[in-house]
Amino acid sequence: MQSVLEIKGLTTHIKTKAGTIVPVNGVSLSVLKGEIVGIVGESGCGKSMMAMSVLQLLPAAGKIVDGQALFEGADLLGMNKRQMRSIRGDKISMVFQEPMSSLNPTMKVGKQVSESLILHTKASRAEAKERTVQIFQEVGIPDAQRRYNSYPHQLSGGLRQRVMIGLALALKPALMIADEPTTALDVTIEAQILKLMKGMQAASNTSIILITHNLGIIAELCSYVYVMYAGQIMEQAPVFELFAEPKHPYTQGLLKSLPMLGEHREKLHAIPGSVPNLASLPPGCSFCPRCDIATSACYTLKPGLEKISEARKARCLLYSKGVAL
Amino acid sequence: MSNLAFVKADSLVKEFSIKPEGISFMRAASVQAVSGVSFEINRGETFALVGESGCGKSTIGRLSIGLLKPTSGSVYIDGIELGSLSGSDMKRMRSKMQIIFQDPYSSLNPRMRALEIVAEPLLAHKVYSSRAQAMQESMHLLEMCGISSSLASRYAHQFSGGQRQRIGIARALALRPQYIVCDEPVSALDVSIQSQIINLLVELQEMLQLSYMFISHDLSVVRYISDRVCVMFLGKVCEIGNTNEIFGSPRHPYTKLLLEAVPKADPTQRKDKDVLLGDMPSPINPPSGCRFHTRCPYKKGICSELEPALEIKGDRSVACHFPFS
Repeated sequence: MQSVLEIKGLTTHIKTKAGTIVPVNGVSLSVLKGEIVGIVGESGCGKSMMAMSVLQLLPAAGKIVDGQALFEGADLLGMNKRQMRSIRGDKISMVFQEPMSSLNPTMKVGKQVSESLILHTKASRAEAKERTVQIFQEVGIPDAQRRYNSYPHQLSGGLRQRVMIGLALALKPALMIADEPTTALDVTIEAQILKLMKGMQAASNTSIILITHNLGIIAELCSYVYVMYAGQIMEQAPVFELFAEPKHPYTQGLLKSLPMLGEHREKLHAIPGSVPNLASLPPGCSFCPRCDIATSACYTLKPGLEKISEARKARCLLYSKGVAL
Repeated sequence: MSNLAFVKADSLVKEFSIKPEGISFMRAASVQAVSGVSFEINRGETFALVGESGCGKSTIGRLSIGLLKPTSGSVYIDGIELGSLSGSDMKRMRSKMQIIFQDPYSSLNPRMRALEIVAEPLLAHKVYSSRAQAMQESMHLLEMCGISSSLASRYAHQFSGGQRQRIGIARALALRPQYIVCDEPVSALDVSIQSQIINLLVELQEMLQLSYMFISHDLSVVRYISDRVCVMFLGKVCEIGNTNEIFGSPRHPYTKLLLEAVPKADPTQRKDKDVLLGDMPSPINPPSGCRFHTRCPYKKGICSELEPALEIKGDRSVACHFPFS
């Protein structure tokens, strides 16, 4: 199948007081047409920085040093500001975790959506308004006509996130990047938003990159998953295979440490230690200080991301020879 | 009252005034965060409070250890009513009950070293005659919670989130309490760290015979850790009972839909679920009759007119006109 986005060897550096850190270290991934791809990882693993790099929205201290991000054949990383502006919103849109801080608090929510329609599609004001109300109805905002004139603070968290999704889908983009879209929401509202995203994706065939720390959301929505740790992809697999048989010790540990709703276990599995500091990563495999089965080789060899079956890859010395430091 | 109960709450009501101070022309209004909640927590038991944001669960946690005074109703700890205690008696009582907060970043004093943070309650309550003894006990508590003595002179910001939560737990244990309110203790932590803290809480409970009130919106964690659970909606109890029974066969529609809304980390269990419609109603103007009826897919005429009473059957109580059997 045709891929919408193809990221190859993306590497991003960020200058900090503690020196240069590498939150995205040679990440390659591809998103097929109409597919929901999940990126899962813990805080500081680089999943958001990866998305920000692709859209050239990095903070000032950040710099893309290597790689390509091919979108419809063109490299996004080589585009200038004007070219990027025509891509963002129009072809690739983004939904962030906290809708309150991504909406303009001084502007009616309806205006914010219709403004982007006017800007990108040259629609007239009246047409844009009509279309916005229609979008609000599609994303399940009750009383859409009246909500058009609400300010963001007058809406609940769930409604604000619906506005964001409406905004993100208004221009029928080929790709939507959703970064922790439901983390700030209650579980029943989360279920509404996930159902909405799934429905919208099925109706318009938009591809979605879903970034989350929640393995449950990955299991429910995605078809292919990338597991990130310390700036690198540790494992990638189709969702059913990943949950049925995780190959990387980190993925195995993550899945085992989840308390499951259906069963009661004696003691939870815990991954020892803490999430690594990107400024002081161990020299060999970045996960080895926390790994149950690490050997001395793990401290001296860097594992490569090796193909272990038709659709799967893993970065572990179990499956790769590794490169000497 | 069963003789096992260590904590007993009787028809707790808590109203907060929402009149903006100093603005005389605005009408005083109040919001009832907790409306007539009763429960008991036995010795050595984990009692969980679950519900979505704004349902009053944190308010109940604070009421139960006297950090807030109830508008009406009473809390008994070990048979003694908190409201009847004088200042000095209350201070003595406080050593029996402690709280662990959600955010390990804002609940530790940034100007104090880990050792001093944990020693502070010991010093304030003059448990030891010398400061050196208090410090020694503090060191012991930190080690019990998994912070090695070599780290004890560090400041809070030098620790990771999981380690900070361990310090918060050590501080809560300093006065040898019998009852601890855990207010979302793992919600701010990464997945791989959550299970470490849950295991620590369980170990400490077994070692010290603690009673926990475990407040959480994460139902899988609640299922794992709690013996009994209370499901709340908008300041009212929907259902109280044994955790396994409630999770196995929920009787209140809200409990059922809340459980279904949780994303399961198993892609083979994907299904098109019934999502709970609408948003949380406003607690300032709660709906008439059953407070849940505006979102309930099973509602009938009576639900909007008459508030269902909490029907008590043995250890299991449910407040619904048409509970599932």
